Amino acid sequence: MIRGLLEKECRDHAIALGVMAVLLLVTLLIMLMVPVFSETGGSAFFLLGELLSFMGPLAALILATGLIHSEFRHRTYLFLLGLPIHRVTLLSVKYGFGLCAMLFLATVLLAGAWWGGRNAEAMTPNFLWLLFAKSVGWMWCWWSVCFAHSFLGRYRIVTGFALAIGLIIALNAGVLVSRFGPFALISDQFAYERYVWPIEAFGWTAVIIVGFSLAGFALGIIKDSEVTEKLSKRMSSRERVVVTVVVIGAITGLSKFIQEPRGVPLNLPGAIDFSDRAANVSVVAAVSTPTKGEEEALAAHGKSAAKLLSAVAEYLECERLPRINIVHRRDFKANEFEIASESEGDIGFIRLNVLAPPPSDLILQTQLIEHVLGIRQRGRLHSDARGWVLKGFAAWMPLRGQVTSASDLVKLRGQGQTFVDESVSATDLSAWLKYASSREKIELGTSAGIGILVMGNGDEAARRRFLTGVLGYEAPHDARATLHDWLHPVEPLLKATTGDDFETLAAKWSREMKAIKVPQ
Amino acid sequence: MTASEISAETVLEVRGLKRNFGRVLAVDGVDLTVPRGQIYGFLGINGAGKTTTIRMIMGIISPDAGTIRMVGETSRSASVKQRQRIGYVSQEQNFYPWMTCKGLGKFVSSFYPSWDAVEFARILDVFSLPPDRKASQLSGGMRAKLALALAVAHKPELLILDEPTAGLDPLARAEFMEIIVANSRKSQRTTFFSSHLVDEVERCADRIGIIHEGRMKVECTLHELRDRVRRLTLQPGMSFEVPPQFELLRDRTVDGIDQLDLRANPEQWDALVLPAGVSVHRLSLEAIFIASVSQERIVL
Repeated sequence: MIRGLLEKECRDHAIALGVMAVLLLVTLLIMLMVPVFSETGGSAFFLLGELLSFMGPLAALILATGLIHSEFRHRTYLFLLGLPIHRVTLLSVKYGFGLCAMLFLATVLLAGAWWGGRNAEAMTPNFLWLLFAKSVGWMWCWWSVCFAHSFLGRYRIVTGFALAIGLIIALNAGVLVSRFGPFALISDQFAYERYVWPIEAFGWTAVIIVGFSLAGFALGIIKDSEVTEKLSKRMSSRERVVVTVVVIGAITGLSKFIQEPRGVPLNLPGAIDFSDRAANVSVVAAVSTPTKGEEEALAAHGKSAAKLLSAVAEYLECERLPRINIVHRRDFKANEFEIASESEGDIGFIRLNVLAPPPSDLILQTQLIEHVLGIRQRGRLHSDARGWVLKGFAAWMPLRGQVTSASDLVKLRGQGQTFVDESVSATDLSAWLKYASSREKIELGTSAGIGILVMGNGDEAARRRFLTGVLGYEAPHDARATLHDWLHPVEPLLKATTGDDFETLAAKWSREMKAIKVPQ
Repeated sequence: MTASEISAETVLEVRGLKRNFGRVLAVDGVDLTVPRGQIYGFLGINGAGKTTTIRMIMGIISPDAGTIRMVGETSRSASVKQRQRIGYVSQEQNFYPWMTCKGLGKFVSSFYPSWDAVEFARILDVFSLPPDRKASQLSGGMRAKLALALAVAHKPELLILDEPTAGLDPLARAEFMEIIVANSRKSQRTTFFSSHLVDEVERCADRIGIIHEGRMKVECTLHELRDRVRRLTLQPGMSFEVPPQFELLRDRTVDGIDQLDLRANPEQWDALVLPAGVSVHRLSLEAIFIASVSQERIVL
């Protein structure tokens, strides 16, 4: 009876077993290439640990899906249950078959590693037994987890995903997963620890093995497999929608916690803080001993930047703007400055030579606004849909109150004849990057500034509502930002706040550009 | 057949079998008796509880209450040894698609000590089943025949079939039932089969059990059933009070004529004095079945 079942399992899962055999063969070939080991840690067993770490879960998943889930999914278990065999025997044969396959895999890999490294390493019996026990523990653990997991039928992908997310959260929360239970068995020390048996890790591994094995058997037996039978059916469309919503919700919610751990806050030695309400500005001289003139110029830049950004924050109703560090570099030439942000993307830098500043304060201010708002929305404003709003606001904001027409704007920004015969279409407002790449001759900020100026026929309250709607949002580090952009497209917001659609705005914008009269 | 005779010759005896699925009471105290050598037709509409009852008899699911005495052993759920003496054909034939007829025989043989490989090969031949054809390449009728071949090759004392002809066309169904009857008669094998098709049961069964909403409504031979359940027709304007010994199964009016389907012992029927304008009629199994499973008052 059992032999018949085992033969059936071999034949039924021939493809899965064949794939595993090929994997095994390839792995063995790699392991037998001794020089490889010397390049990967100096031990014949280093590669074994690496291989086991991914082959364990992979093989267990393939085997469990074939042995358990497929049997229920294709309802062939009903055929088996019609035969004179006890349900526990049936599950035991499957469990034993899967376990043997997993242990065979581990044993062959270990034998291959031993063969490959027999002349290079001292193979003491204790060391080999230790390696064997660790490999067995790791493989058995994964088999028991996947065995239980395979009874969850249509929810196994969702639960697998949840487990993976949980593991990532634990890792990101600083939990040292690699020191726990089965993970400790094949940790970095797998190939090198020759004497100490990790009793605690073995203990936890045994607990996991027993727990999941019992859970698997319980799921397969309780209520005459009724639970597993129901779970093995395909999801209804309603269930699929609910699961998708729950998964997306979970990802969105959890993504707050699965961010990379924050590093130590950036601390620039000698930096002077010029923060003003919502604006966070620091200045620092990247020189060993700044002169008084440098210090004064830096302080002036700091105050000016803080004042400007404070006005921006107030206008856009932002509670806080990202920190900006203005860094003085003597090696920078006049008209030369550099914009950057730190790796997390939360802090911006403007590097320049304060004694040989950029061509104009206006250019620096425009860049400052663009940079700060860009950081605040994680670069999302530099897009086809929102690029013109950011560019235009950054150009217009420093001159707010001083300009009433496009001619004023062009004049103050130092632009001249470049706007003759220039126009903007509604399509350009949805494909700003394409527009920008095709307009090399014009100053894009000034062009977009004209758009900001003319929107809503110059109604300041309407303009502010629109700009606050697009630029005032603080994007989080996760999918919520994408969801926000998706739910708040620009054109409907423009229409709702200013009464203009893209067509109307583009027409006004183009008309205004054509009417520019600026003496050269 | 007396009660003691039945007990001595009984291959399957079920008492008080119950099974819930959540809040649904699928089988509610089923009693049935299958005498040796007979063909038992287990009749009921879809969802009546036939498959649940059979699955409990086979030990595939456990009963919440009740006992099963089968091939001489009494238990709550059939043991492996008991099941090795039974042949079973399920409603759906969920064979492994890659297995051939011969391969399936080899696989199933490992579960039955009394498996007769020669007999299996012979049955395949009789059923015109190609031994090397894969299960996935068999038609519905051929799959049913293969299931029957697998169920009888170990020469079981009791053959249990759960709606074996479900999904087959009328020709295949008739052929399949002929095979079952011929095989059972020839080998003196006790056969218990379920069906919702009245003509099938009427044609093949010696003994009939009717199940409805999880409860046994009737259990006896076809002859006894016809003797017990009869129809009274009342001329328009006539009234008839049902005597207390009689059970009213169905009451309906067709074209102004009242029809009362009643159940009572044959002796009670013989003793019944009918007033003028009331006549009694024998019923077909189909009419008895319908009367047994529908009790509401119907006016057509």
